[in-house]
Order: sequence, then C-alpha cells, then structure tokens
Amino acid sequence: MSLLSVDNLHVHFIARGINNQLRTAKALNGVSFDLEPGQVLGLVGETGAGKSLTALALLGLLRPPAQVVAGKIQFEGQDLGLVDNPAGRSARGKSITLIPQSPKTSLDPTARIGEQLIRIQREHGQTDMVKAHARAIEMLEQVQIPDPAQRMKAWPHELSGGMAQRVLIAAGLINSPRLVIADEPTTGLDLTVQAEVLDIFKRLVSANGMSAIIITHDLGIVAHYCDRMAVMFAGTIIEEGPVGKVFEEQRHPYTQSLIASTPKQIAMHGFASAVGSPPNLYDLPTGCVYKDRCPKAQAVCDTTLPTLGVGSTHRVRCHLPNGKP
Amino acid sequence: MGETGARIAKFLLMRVAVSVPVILGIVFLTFMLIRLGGQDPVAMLAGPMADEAMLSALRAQLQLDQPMLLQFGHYMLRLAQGDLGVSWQGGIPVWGEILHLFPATLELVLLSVGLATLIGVPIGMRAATHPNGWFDQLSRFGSLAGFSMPTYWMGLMAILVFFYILRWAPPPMGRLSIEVVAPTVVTGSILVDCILEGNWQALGSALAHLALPVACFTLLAAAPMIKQSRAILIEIMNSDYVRYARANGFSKTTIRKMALRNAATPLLTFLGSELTSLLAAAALVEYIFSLSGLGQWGLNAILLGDFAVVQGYVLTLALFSVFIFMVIDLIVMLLEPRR
Amino acid sequence: MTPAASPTARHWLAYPLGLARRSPTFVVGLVIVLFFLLLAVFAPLIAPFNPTQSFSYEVLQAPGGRFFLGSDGNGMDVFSRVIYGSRYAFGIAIPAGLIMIGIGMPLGLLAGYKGGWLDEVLLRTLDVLRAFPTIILALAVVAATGQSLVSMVVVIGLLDSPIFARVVRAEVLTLRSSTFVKAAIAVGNPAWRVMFVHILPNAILGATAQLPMRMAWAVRISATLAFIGVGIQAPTPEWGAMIRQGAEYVITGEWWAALFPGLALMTLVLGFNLLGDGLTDLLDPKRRGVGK
Repeated sequence: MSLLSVDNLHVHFIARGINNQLRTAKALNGVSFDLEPGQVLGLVGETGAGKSLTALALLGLLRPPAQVVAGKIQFEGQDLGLVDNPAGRSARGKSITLIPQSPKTSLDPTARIGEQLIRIQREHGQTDMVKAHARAIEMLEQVQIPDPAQRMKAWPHELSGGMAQRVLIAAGLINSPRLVIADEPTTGLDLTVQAEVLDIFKRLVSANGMSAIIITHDLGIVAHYCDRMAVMFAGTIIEEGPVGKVFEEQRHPYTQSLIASTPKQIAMHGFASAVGSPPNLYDLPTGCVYKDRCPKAQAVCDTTLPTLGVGSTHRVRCHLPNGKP
Repeated sequence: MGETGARIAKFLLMRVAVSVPVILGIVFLTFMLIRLGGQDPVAMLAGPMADEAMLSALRAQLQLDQPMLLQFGHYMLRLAQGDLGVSWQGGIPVWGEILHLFPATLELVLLSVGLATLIGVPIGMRAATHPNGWFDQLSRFGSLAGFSMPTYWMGLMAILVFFYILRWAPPPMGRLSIEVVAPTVVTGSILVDCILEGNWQALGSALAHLALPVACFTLLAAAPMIKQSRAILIEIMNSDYVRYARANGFSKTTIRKMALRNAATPLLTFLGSELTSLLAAAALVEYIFSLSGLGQWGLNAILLGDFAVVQGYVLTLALFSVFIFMVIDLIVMLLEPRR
Repeated sequence: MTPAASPTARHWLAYPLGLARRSPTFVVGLVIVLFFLLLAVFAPLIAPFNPTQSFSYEVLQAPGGRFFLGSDGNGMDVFSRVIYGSRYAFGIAIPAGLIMIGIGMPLGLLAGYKGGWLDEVLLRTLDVLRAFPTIILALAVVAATGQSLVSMVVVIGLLDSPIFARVVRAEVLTLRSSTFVKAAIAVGNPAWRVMFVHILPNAILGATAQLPMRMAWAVRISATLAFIGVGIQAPTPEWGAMIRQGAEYVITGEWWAALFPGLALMTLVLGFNLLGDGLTDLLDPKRRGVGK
C-alpha cells in the first residue's frame, strides 16, 4: 500500500472579474500520483503549473477562492479529506510536514527559535518540556547550525536566509513525520548554500526512512536528489517516472523542451524552439493541454488523452510518446 | 539589565532631542497664527469705554506693538523660566489653570479611550477572523457610522434623549450636581479625588455627569479602533507565518494567541496616535456638556483671542502628544525584538 | 450565464447590479452622495420656503403643519434650510477637494519619485501635523483669516493636501520599485515620461479611494467650525451653524432645529465614507475572489 495516494485532484479558482462575471481558473486538472515509503519525488514544472497548489491541497490548506472540485487524497490508508478538518489537522505538522518557500517570513517574528521549535512539538502532544527542549537542540545540530544551544534564543530576524531555511528543515522533521514536502526549498539562497541545505535535507530524510516531495523548477535539483519525478504542466502531470528513465527517455514533448532549456543544454545545442507562453487557465483547450505549444500536435490531440504506461513505473500523457527526437 | 537601561537612556535622549524642534515649530506656528488674525485682544481687554490713548498704552504694556519675532523671543524667554503668561480674562496664570483643568480632560479621554479599546479591538478582531461575513459587514458599517457622526450633535441628541425625555441623566452642566459637596482638589481629576477622600456621594454624582459624555466620546473613539484592529488582524492572518502555523496543524487557539502577539505592536502604535487626536477632539465634548476641562477653556480662548491661553493650550497638547508617542515607542522597543 | 452569448448581449442592468453585489457599500454611498447633490442643485425647486425668510410669529413650531420639519428659533423653515445646506456642504467639499488634488497630487508625485529634500519637507510637515491638533489649527487659521466661505475652503483644502500627498507618495513609492516601471526606465524613457505615462495613472487609481474620505472630512470639519462659531454664521443655512443655533433649544425640548441638520450632515458624511470604503474594496485586486 502506498504511503500517499492522490487520485484525480481537480482544483478551481473562482473569482469575479471586473464586470462581475464569474471566471474560473482550472488550476489543477486530474492530478494523480502515488508515493511509496522512503521515496523522494520531485515535482517540476514552470511557474503556475500547479506544484505549490498540489502541496497546499495535500495539506488541506486550500482556502477560497480556491475550491476542490473533485479528487481524493489518502495517506497511510486514511482519507485525508480535502479541506480543513480534524483528521487533516492532526496529521499536519506531525505525519505530514511542510518546509515552506520563504524561510524568513514563515517564522513567527515575535517568538524565539527555540520557543517555536518547542511549540511545534507541544501542539502535537509533547508534554515534557525538557524532552522537547533537548529534541529541539538535537534537530538544530542535525541541520548543522553552529552553537545550537545559543541559537535557541535567537530571534527569526537575526538569522540569514540559509540558516532560517535550516531551522525550517529542523522544524519540519522534529516530529519525525512520514512525509515531508519541501516547497521550492532553495528560493533566495546563494548557490553554495543551496547545495548545503539540500544535502542536509536529503541526508536526514534518507536516514530516517521518510518520504519526501521536493517542489522545484530546477531540474538539476531533481536529478541530484530525487528518486522519482513528476512533470507538471497546466495543472496536469504530463510525465512521471523514475528520474533516470525520464531524463533518458523524455517521452513527452514538454519534458523534452524543459530539459532542452537548461543552461547547459543551451550551451551545448543552442536554443531550442521557443518554449511559448504559459497556458491560460481560464480558457484551457479541449483535448491535450499542451497541443498549442507542441511541435508534434496532430488531429488526435484535440480529443482527451489517456495515461499511457510506458512500463509500469513510467507514465506519459501523450498520444505520440515517441521519445527523444 | 544594565544593557537595557543603557538602551532606554539612549532612546529617551534621542527622542527628546528630536522632539524639541517639533515642539518649537508648533509653538512658533501657533504664536504667529494667532497674531496674524484680525482679532484685537486689546479692544476686548480694555472694554468698550477705552479710547485710543488707553488702547495704545495697553498695547505697549502687552508688547503687542513690537515686531512679531521680538514678541516671540520674549515669549520664549519667559517660557524658559516656566512662565506661561496670564489669561486676559481675569488675569489667571495660565500654568496654574492648566494644571487645574488638564486632569479633568485627561479623565474624560482616558476613560473613553479605555472603553473604546476594550470594545473596539475585540470587535475588530472578530470581524477579521470572519471576513465578509455578516458580523464583518455590520461592524464595518457601524464603524463608518461612528466616523461620520459629528460628536457635538451626538452629544446633543444624547442630552435630548437621556436627559430631557428619559430623565436618566443629570442636566449637562458641569461635573457635579449643585447640591453635592465637591471633594477637596488633590489631583484635579474629580473621580480620583472623590475616591481619595472617600466621598461616595460626590463620586456617584460625578459618574452620572460623566456617563453621557463618556458614552458619546467612546463611540467616537471606538470607530477607528474597530477599523484599525480589523485591518491589522487581516494582514496578520494572511501572513506567511500564520500560513506556516496552519501548515503545522496548530490549533485555532494557538494561532489566535500568535496573532495577538503580533498585533500588539501595531495596535499600541495606533493607540498612541489616537490618544493624541482624541485629546483635541475632547474639547468639543467638554463644550457641549459644560465639563470644565482644558479643551473648553482653550476653545474659548481661541475664539476670544486670549493669546497666552491659546499658546498654553496648544503647548500642552503638543507636549502630551510627544510624551505619549515616547512612552508607546519605548514600550514597543522593549517588547519587539526587531529593534 | 449563457455560455455562447457575446458580452454585449447581457442585460443592461447586469452591470450596475453586479457592481452592487460586489460592493454594496459603494453603491449605497454613491446613492447618498448623488441624492444630496441633487438636493443641492435643485434646491430652489424643492425647498418650499426661502431659507432665510423668517416668520417671526411662528418661531419654534414643531414639525408637521406648515413647516415640514418645523421652524427654528428665528422662525425659519428647517426643511428648506436643510436642503439649502447641502449647497454649502458641496460648495466647500468640492473646491477643497480640487485644491487638495491640485496641491497634494503633484506634491506626492514629486516627493515619491524624486525623494530628496522635497520628500523630507513633506514628511516633517506630516510629523508636525500629526502632533498638532488639526481642528485647533483650522480653528485658529479661519479665525485669523476672516470668517468667510473662501477662507474656510482654502484652509481645509490646504490642510487636506499633505495627507493626500502622503497617500499619493506611498502609491508612487510602490510603483517606482515595480518591475514594469523599472522596465520602462531601462528601455530609455525620460524621467518625465515615466512619471506621467507610467506612474501617474496608476497612482491616481490607488489614491482615488482617498478622495471621498477627504471630502467627508471637509464637510465634517466645516460644520464643526461653524458649530463652534467660526466661519459661516447665521442666518446662512449651513448645517453646522444650524446645529449651533438649535443647540440652545434642545434642553428645553425643542429638538427639531438641531436634529435634522445633524442628521443630514451625518448622512452625507457617511455617504462619502461609504463611497470611499467601497472604492477601496472595488479597486483592491485581492478582493475579487468569491468565497464559499
């Protein structure tokens, strides 16, 4: 049984335009994937593809104007429900944790680091303050923050970006969750610091047998740190599989253009054909969402497409998954 | 503790240094403004019987015929010695009268602002936690209505309803009923003096007289409280750290406590500016209800052209405002780790 | 919603109704303000009596009967005076508002865009204004410069300007660091062009919501000043002055002379405030989402 099972998730944003007409942005369209214990999944895609939204949905944090229109999320066999509910709330922060995108603003400005680390434990049942304190220091050590006992008394604004991110990792792992979701964990960090932070993250996750979802737009991170990857476009997963295989085979045209757009590829092969403009979520085309940008689009792409399995672990949403050109 | 003490000292020093030019500016502005007017206080002082000779003599005596900057210089000199001049209505020394009347005004303002905060902040918070709900719409409307109502008119209507029609409130004249014995003046604040003396009868009467003005003033003060605390709280609830707290499955109570802690600073700062502007608005309430307070005195002085009193009044307000801001900023500095 | 209909095929009523749904405050405020505006414009046609015509034998008549809202202490018809009072309210609010825009807008634009000493001066002025009780200032100045309509308008307009300038300045500052302005500069637009073409329209949009609020304040403070005895005086049918007159009779129970002008005043000020609040709602992009 998978640790996490997401099935056919549809999320819409409903808003009123300037002329008071209802406009619906279809942000997630039938997102489905499974995650096994101990696996690290990389969720990639361009901005607006729906990666962070999926994470929010997993955590039950979606609020109006976002609405879950369909779908089911199961964690450890239990139905998590799709909106804020007691089941979700007890899992959040304990069995499923989030490492958010902007470290410095995600910490409570009026509480010291130590207090916040202890608070997370206390909210999930820890009553022994001495143990909580010790555990907090232990986690700070694990994320390689120097002089952890002293750091416990620090205020959030005193930390650098990299340190704040490490504190958030510590906070995310402090209750020994089964699943950790890291949302763009390297935003705003220097390149050198990025590698450090991710190394720490991966090491801790592996050492404790946790599963993780890393949300990023950086393919390099996926290549280095993930076991499986899922490529998202316009709210749909268009290709999913083991990292090595996906990079190697690149079954979906979008995957191909993504990989071709990395700086190294451009340096080697020159600019590929223009990637095109982002899809209009208010007006998605029928049939394949990618067809307007796809160099290989054919008549059949105007109808809805099934998920073809290219092997049991590798799935592609394309009528013509003919691999690398 | 020594380190905190040093920070406090440094803060106070800097604040005083910065405030002095501001206060000087205000005093200067008031001085010039009131003299630029067409009012001729000499005519008022001397009475209708005076002739030209007497008027000029009086003018020279009061130094009103000298160039303005020179007059200002004289004023500043006397100010430095603690002499605020004399009122031209009866020769009462300004400083003494301020000391006598200011506590009365303070009594009204502090009571009202205190009540307004106690009422307004929870309402604003509740509105923020259920945005666009019926409570929110209602409180926003109520707050806007409070903003729109002219205080003096509300006072008049309150007098009409509660005094004339219902006979609940005492006649709006002064702070005590005539038949009650006034307490010995210790602080100038009637309520405090009554309590100090144990004069319960006077206390009751004073409270009855204060009821309507405080009620009106509280409504006036509550409106911005509601609006601002709502705005502050909404911003907090949409912040990254609240979102992260939710992601960690914090209970609603914990999140509420967190929000409150983060709201304390902006709320306090706002309270400071509100206190300042409300102190000036108190003048109107005092006027309507004939509560002999500083505001009423100052207002009359402006209308009559009693220069020294006006300057004293404005100076008091300015000093008070600077003081309040200083205290609030000090508290904020000590509470907030971000300084 | 008909999926295939073109946008122009919608019922003509849909637009205002949609607006009402999105911001009832805006619509209510607009209705109130327009109502009083109509009263002001058509006053001679609506008012039954000449507002300054005094019927000495019918002093302090209760409402009903010959005088719809009663007559005041001078025997003048309260109803007519209240209607004409709206002329004074707008007569002050509109010119004061124009002065405020005329001074505050360029001030705020320059201060926000150029910064430097102009900005410093503006901020210091605001500091002083913050510590100084504005009402007292207005009082003193109007008392000093003569008790006429013009001096009131000028003083109120001048006092409003720094506050408006601050709002404009804040908008400009936000815009200045926005990407599209940076792009415009990078492409090579001269400073004045960036200011007028790129920043100005957007800054105006953001500051527009302040305008009704400031006008509300203008109406309010002019009435307050009149009430205290400065500025416009009887027999001019200005609401504040009317309340002042009527105040003496409240204690003895003749309430109508003070109530109705105050009611009108409060309603108009409320209308402006609702308008401004509603405008902030409408113009704030974050509020466009639909809940539930």
